Amino acid sequence: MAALMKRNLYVTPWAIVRHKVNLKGKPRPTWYERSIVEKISVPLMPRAPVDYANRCGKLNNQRQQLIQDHPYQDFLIRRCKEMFEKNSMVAVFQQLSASRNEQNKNLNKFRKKGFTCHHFNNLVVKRSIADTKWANMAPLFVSSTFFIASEEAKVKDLVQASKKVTDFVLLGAVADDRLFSKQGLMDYAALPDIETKRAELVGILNHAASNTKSLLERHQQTLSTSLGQFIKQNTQSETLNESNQTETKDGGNSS
Amino acid sequence: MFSSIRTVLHSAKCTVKAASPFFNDGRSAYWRVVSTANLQHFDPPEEFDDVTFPERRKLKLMLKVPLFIGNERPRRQFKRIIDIRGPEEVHTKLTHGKYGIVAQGGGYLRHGHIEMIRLGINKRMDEKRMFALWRIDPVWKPVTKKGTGHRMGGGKGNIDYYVSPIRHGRVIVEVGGKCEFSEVEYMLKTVAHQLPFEAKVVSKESLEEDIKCEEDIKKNNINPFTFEYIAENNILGCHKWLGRYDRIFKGKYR
Repeated sequence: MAALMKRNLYVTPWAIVRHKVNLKGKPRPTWYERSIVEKISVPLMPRAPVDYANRCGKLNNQRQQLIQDHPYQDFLIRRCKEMFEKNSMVAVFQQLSASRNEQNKNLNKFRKKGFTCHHFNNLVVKRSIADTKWANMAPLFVSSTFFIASEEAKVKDLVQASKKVTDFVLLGAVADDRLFSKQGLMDYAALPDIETKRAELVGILNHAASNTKSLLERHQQTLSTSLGQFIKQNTQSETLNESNQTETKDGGNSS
Repeated sequence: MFSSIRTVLHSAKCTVKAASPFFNDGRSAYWRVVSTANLQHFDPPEEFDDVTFPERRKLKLMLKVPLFIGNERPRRQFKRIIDIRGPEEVHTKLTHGKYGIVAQGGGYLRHGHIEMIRLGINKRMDEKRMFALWRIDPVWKPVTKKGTGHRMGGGKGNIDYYVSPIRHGRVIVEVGGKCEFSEVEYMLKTVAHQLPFEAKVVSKESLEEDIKCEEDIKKNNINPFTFEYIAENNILGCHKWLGRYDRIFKGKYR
């Protein structure tokens, strides 16, 4: 029986195999079994929850979040604040699409009248305006906007110049610490000079005084005029009577 | 147009005289090119206050054959593949510079490679602002060779040249100074491309990022079938072909 039993010959538990060492720069190409294992053992990371609102590139561009504590950003904000503080009149214009040359031509119309032109990013403007007395201007800064400013409130010149330019739309303005809409600015510009207005006021005040004076004097005046009339009428009647008497005397003599 | 932008950008205005294809009567057309694009955000420039320069800013010449003192003779030694096998454990971080070349595989650097690195960097480097440092040893390991046309046998051959063994992840060269990565990148890339093993150009930040990434994978890996686990449990009968160094290095550094 024992002869029938098949038994393995003695085999060393370790197989001593001499591999040739890989001294080249690249690792050896993988064989089939190994490539399967390598594919399986690729690390898998848990999926981060997707923020769909922030995924849209177009929306992100529109949002354009300001970089916090950016020195250049701070510089722009300082300049924007300076513009508001220095100038007593700041008008906001919307800029329609036009070539750069035409824009310049239009702006020169303002520059000739002594206005200065400024441009800031809307986000910069909103940030510099917040918590100041100009905070109510914030809804104006939606599309492409720019500023036209002057140290004195020359509203009339502004309205005149803005009527001549084609590609700029006047949205509103601050003049003498007062916020104006477009129509408000027009009305304000249509007002006459303060000198003439004062003269008008003086006239009105004088009118009241003279009116009361005339009212008070009216009775006396009417009385005096009526008396005068009465005297006049009386004198006329007397003269008429006298003349009649003389006529009768003369007639008697001649006949 | 706008004063705020003008302070930063010079508006590029120029007139272009063109040989007009439209006018045949000798008139010439003029166009005025007015720049309209502008930049809104400028990052503040990098500050280089803490940069200290070494005495010699350029890479030093390395010896082709190591110095032997007195009666010392070079010994012919075994191949010792372990010198280039596995990961580098000491010289993996940048010490003086900010940018460098890191080996992505093991191999031997010969004197020719070292000269190539030295010349390639010294030629392109701006000495006034930058400096470069060696992070490798000069060649020390002898390699023997039998002359051509010799029959096998007759003992080990003579020493032909010397090499410097490099392991995976070793920093080979560092570059630092008052310069940014974009200035140095091209210079280092051209050198790293010519090395006998794969190598990549790194900065201090990118190295840190790599370490972070590895830690992150270790922590958050969902896949239960890591190479380690597969090797331990003989999954797919991998014990048949798995090597000793596969177990030690977990499938890396082949």
